[in-house]
Amino acid sequence: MTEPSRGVLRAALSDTPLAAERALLEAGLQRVEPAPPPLDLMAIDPAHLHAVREQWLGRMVVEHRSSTVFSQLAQQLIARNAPLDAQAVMMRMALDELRHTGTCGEVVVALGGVAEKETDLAVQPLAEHRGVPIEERVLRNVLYTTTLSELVACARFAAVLERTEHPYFRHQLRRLLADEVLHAQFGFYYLMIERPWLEAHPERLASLERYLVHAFAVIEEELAPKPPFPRLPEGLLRLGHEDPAEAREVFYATMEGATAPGLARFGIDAPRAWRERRRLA
Amino acid sequence: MHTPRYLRFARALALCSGLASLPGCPGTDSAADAGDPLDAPSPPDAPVLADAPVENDAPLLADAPTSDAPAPGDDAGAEDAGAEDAPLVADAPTANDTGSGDPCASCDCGFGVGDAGVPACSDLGLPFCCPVVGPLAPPDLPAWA
Repeated sequence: MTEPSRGVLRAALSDTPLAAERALLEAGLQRVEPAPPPLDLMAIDPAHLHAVREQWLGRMVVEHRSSTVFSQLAQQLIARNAPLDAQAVMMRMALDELRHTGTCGEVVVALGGVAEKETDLAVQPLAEHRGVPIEERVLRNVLYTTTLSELVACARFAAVLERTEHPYFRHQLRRLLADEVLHAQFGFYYLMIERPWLEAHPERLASLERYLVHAFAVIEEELAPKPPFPRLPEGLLRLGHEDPAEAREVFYATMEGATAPGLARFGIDAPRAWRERRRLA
Repeated sequence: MHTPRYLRFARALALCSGLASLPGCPGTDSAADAGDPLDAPSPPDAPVLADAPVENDAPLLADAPTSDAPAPGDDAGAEDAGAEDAPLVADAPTANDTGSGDPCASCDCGFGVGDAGVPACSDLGLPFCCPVVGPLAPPDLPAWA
């Protein structure tokens, strides 16, 4: 583990031409009109406002940290000599996370807050899976981040969006979800790329399935909230606040109903790995 | 049995990304209008993205993973949530609801524990670590001994 490095994360831009270059990038990649519907803060219960603002501030931190995962994974794809589009899209996905950091910061400011948060800014090195060949190493990391983690994120966003009535929050959630869709799909597309290699190396398929036994157990610890759950006010849920009880339901349904069968399409016995999930290290 | 929209959406992404001829993806490689036969989603309700109760939601239809996305005019889900804000004043949360009384009451909810690099809820200053978005760092696992 890298030593913690406390600092203040700020979703702020510089006063240099770099800000204009960033705006060009944003304009080129945005899938949802960036201008949100109006937001009347006076119409929102102050307690709800505080809770929602804190959640978006938390999202800002997590999105920023997520960019380090995809940016390191892009380096692994380069080392793997993956097709150029796979390398480029992974770079784009890292950029998406930085864009989302900005989006979350915008929301925090719109809600009357300050888009800064003290946090650990240390970059944790991406898993290297000692002794595992580069082809499988990249596959492991791609599958975990996209077909497991980001697919759950998509499902959760979809669930939250369905009950979010406030147009402003719907709009901002959709800005994030629009990119998460690509992130979740990346791993399945990458499996198409690596299918010939996997078919030629059945022993690596077995190793990959062993990894999934471990990975499913870890992600369950990370993303399946455990009861008892707080009972959240309906008004807060209508603003798009996360609901841990819902998140738990979404996690298990997604793992069993989407991730595992999705990986099985490629000859990976993910349903069995899910059933037998346990930490191996 | 009713399949929630979020699951139909996730299944479409997982089962139909790129492989057109697989069971469950008849005649299309679209994540937007396909799914498992058990789900049998009709084109209007397959993509949760198409749930567009307000006019401004429409542009997201262009984000559907492939060109098989429904047309922007698709009004699926239009009867869902209303376009206007619902009153938000009736149900102020208690301290426990928001965690303001207990700074990390739900740490054991599962978010933030483990070794995958998720900041602890105490680190985020949140009552529980629910705003987990973006990829988690994958766990390490060396090769077989």
